Amino acid sequence: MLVLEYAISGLLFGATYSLVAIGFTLIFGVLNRFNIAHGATLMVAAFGGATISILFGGKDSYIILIAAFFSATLIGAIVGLIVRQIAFAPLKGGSELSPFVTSAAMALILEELFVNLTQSVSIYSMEVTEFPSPLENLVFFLGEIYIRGAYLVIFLMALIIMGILHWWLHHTKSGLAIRCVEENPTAAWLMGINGNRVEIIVFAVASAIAGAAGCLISVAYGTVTPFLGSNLLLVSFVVLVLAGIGSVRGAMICGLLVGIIETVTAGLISAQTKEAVLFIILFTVLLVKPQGIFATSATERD
Amino acid sequence: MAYYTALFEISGLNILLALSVFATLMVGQFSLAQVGFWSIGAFVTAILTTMHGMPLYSALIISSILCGFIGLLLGYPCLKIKGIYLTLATVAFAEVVRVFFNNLNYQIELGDRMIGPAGALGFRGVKVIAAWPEIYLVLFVIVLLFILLASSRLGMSINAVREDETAAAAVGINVTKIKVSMFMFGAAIAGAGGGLYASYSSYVLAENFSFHMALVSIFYVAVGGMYTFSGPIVGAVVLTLLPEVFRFAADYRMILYGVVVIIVVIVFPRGIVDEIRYRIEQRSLRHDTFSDNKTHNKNKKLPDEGIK
Repeated sequence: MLVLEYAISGLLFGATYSLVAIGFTLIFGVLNRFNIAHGATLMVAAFGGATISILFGGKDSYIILIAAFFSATLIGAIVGLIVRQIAFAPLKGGSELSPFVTSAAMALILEELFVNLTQSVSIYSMEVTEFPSPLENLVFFLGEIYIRGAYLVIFLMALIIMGILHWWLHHTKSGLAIRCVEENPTAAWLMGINGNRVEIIVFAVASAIAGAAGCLISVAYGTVTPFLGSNLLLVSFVVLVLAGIGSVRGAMICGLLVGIIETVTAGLISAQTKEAVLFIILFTVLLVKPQGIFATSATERD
Repeated sequence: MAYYTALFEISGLNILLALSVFATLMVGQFSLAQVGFWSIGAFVTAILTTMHGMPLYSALIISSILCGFIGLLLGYPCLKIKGIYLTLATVAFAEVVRVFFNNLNYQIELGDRMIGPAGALGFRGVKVIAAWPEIYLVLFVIVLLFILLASSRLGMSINAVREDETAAAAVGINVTKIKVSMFMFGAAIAGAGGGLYASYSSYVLAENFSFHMALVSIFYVAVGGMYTFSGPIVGAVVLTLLPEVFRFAADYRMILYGVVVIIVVIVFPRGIVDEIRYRIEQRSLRHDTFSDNKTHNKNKKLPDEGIK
């Protein structure tokens, strides 16, 4: 019974991992580069949401919570565009290492900035800043199984976001353009697709999703820290490899899977082993089936 | 004075880390595992010297060999995976090592206290037996190896593998052997460097050897340059001294550090050393074209883009 409870809360929380990994994989699909600052973008957005919630008394108002969610999404998109402008745009056609380094440096800058802000701004706390939300004490019981209300809400929100994204990628013209660039950038360019515009759209959307995920995750935790993003970045690596790099649908499912694995290991064995288990899985999948479980043709190009 | 000595010593340690990243990059493998080897080297050396009374150099040699061996075990299966997948596999390795040492409890009674790695609390009270002479002696040996490598047949094969694997294989170079041995070489350097770090700093904490440190180790090579071994050396020294130069910015100095890294990578895409070398050689090339002896520039070789 306990295992089932862990599995359900893992599944519900795993939806946020899916969101983080989807953003990461979208950017990778279009640019063929890792955006190491993706985690930091998420963290900044989460702080944005927390700030609104703290300032306007989000403890018992659902409207403030919704406002915090939307502003986190917006902040995510803005930070993502800044990251793109600084770390990716000036490096067109360079080596693979350069954007890795610049985006890692962006992540470092944003993290350090918020470490300093949490020390100097009075509404933040030094180590962990609280994210007040009315969902904190909400609890459901499914038979004997205990489900946190916050988890259920973030799961539903994540599903809605993924649904919209899926519709957008498959039923709109801009979504089609993105999938074209993912598949073959040169052919997309020949078809008159503006690669630059696609890049900007992808960065904005992926980072907005990261911002939404950041808000949902910190609502579930009830806290925000400047290092929220770097931990999630490592988890999204695992999701990415399981799913096959570049596969959005795979990332959706594998995020849930990773959530379940993580929570069940943490609950049954210990919190420390959960990371080791995740990375051993990552390693094994890379060796046995490097293209991932949900490989698409787009992932085959190097 | 002690301040400058400490800077000198830390620069030496960072150069070792940068060179170990560079060794794997020499064959086009982008590895974030060096931090894991660094961690293994630090713990193994600390255990050998402090708990078993072994002299520093024998402990360093054992750590290097052990790391080289683990590098072999990791390097072989990793050859199957390429590019970004390899990088992710090395991240996984470094993380597993970190979790392992974070949970390692192996203490013996020494004198009146318990000593050894104490899980998440780390290994306190490592015997301090390394300062700048030891660090720079090891560094000297490794740089010597790189110099020998650069002028040897093996070094040429390494360059060939980096530039074009298929072409290298076609002229009879054993690409697998070269890649795995460079991976082992990098691991061994990190093992020795980690050992020196432990014997220098007296305190080893697995949490310090995190993803963050792996990123910084890549910064060294990217800022310095990755075509010759002088690049990572310059990069490591510059980035070690940078936070000290920015001391006026107090808490915000790491932000300035990040800004400088971004600017350097944008302005010098090949890294400081290689970009300057490239521009000088290109200028002399252009110069030669306009002078009379046009045959002169035929033998000139330009550094290529680096890692593709």
